[in-house]
Amino acid sequence: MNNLKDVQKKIHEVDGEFMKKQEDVANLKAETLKTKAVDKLEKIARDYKVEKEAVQEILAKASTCRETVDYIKNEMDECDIPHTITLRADEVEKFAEKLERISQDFQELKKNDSEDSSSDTKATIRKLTDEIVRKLSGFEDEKADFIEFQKTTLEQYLPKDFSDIKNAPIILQVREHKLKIQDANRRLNELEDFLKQGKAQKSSLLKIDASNKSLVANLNSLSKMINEVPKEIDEL
Amino acid sequence: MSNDTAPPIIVEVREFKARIVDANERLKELDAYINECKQKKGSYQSINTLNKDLELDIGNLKDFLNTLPNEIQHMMASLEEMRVGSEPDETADYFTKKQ
Repeated sequence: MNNLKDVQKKIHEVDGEFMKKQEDVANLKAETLKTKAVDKLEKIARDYKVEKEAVQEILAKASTCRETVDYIKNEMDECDIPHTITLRADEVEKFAEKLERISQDFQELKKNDSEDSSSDTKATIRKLTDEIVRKLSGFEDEKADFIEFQKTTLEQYLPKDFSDIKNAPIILQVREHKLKIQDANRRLNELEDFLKQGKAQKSSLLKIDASNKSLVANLNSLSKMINEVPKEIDEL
Repeated sequence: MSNDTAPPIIVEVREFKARIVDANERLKELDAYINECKQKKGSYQSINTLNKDLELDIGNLKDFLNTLPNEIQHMMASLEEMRVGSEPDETADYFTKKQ
């Protein structure tokens, strides 16, 4: 970047010198047209030679600038764009795999194994599953968008596009794509945590329901015994 | 001796001589004029050749000044995008390049 800035400065200098020389040459041309004397014409020819040498010096400076820019461009090459596009493809694939795994985990949460549970437990589990279904649906849309952008935009570019001097917008597209994938991954991690909590919550609620049922049964037995034992004592 | 009294042949010779002298004078002038023209032609040819070379060089410089600054702008835009893409951490696309 700094080398290019230096070249920019040199070009500015070349531009200034060139403007001056252009003016000098125009004056010489005008002088040539109005001069008839041999000695003056010879002087003008000598002046032309001097101007030519000066312009060639400016050209040599310009040529150095061109060589520096070509060298930097050659070093920049494809700006690693094909590599970064491949990285995005991997990230999209990993995102899709993680989403698939979370969806499978969610199927376990959805399993209809809470038939005998209390209405409160059922309502809580339904609320949890509804929320996760909604969130998962959004992620599926994002996954489709990522894959489409990857295939129909980024992977449609050709090597000549990467080496083109106007490749900055592609680098920007790849980076924005990366940020979107990162953001989606962050939210997917949150959903994963939420799903884990949901599963733990469901498991706890089912255990509490089972304990509750057992307790009620025990209380019923105890109550029955309390009612029956005094009668049995009386009979004795 | 005047022309009226001189014998006609002598007069003829003298007049002939005067015409030759006059013709020689004009021939010298013509020679000088041709030399001047030759010098002018030489100067014009040099000027013309140098002018053509200069126009070519000026055209090349104009071309250079019309294209290179734009190319640099585009390259700097690409480098700026790469610079932004080298942040904020080592997972950035161009982090290793930054190193």
